[in-house]
Amino acid sequence: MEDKLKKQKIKYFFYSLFAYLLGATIYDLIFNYERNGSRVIFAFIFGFVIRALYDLYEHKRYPEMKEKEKQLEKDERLIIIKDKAAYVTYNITIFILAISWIVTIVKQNEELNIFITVLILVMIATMELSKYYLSKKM
Amino acid sequence: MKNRLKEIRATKGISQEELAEALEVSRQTISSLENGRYNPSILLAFKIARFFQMSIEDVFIYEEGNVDGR
Repeated sequence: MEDKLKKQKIKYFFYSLFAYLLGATIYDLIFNYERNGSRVIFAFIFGFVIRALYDLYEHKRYPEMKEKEKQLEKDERLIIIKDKAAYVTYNITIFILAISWIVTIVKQNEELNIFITVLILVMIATMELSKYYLSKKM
Repeated sequence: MKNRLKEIRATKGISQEELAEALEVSRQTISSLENGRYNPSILLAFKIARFFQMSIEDVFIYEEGNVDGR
């Protein structure tokens, strides 16, 4: 069952990618390659809708798979793995932003420097607030 | 922390998949527990012990002087 779920997730990923590309192609055919931003939004929404419909179909067809998926969401080991992965991702993101911040100083790009500074501060504040909230809760 | 999960499970003739289903965890979690790569929470330890109708001490062996229990 778990192996089937893994395969299904890979299938979902490619299905979503295909739906996104299909959305972009449909947009190009209708609007004749105009407005790049709108094309991305259209393709994203199209992909999202198709994926949601496919999810609904799969849920009706294999209800036991969804049950297993819900069960695995409660698995304590998987929760710990997700938390650790999120923490590593957070640290790497902060590190990359810090390097970008230094680059913007060297390149004297003030607007981008302010944007990155705000981004770093928001990330740190969110992390600290989450820690404070969770420490009060537990 | 060591455990006798593999041995007990084999004695009872239960597969990893069946045990995982009963405890509502993944099969990989059972495998990690058996190999000593993962130490369960007290809640899961109780669930395992209850499933086999044993006490926690019968399944899990605490080793003194090992900070993280591994």
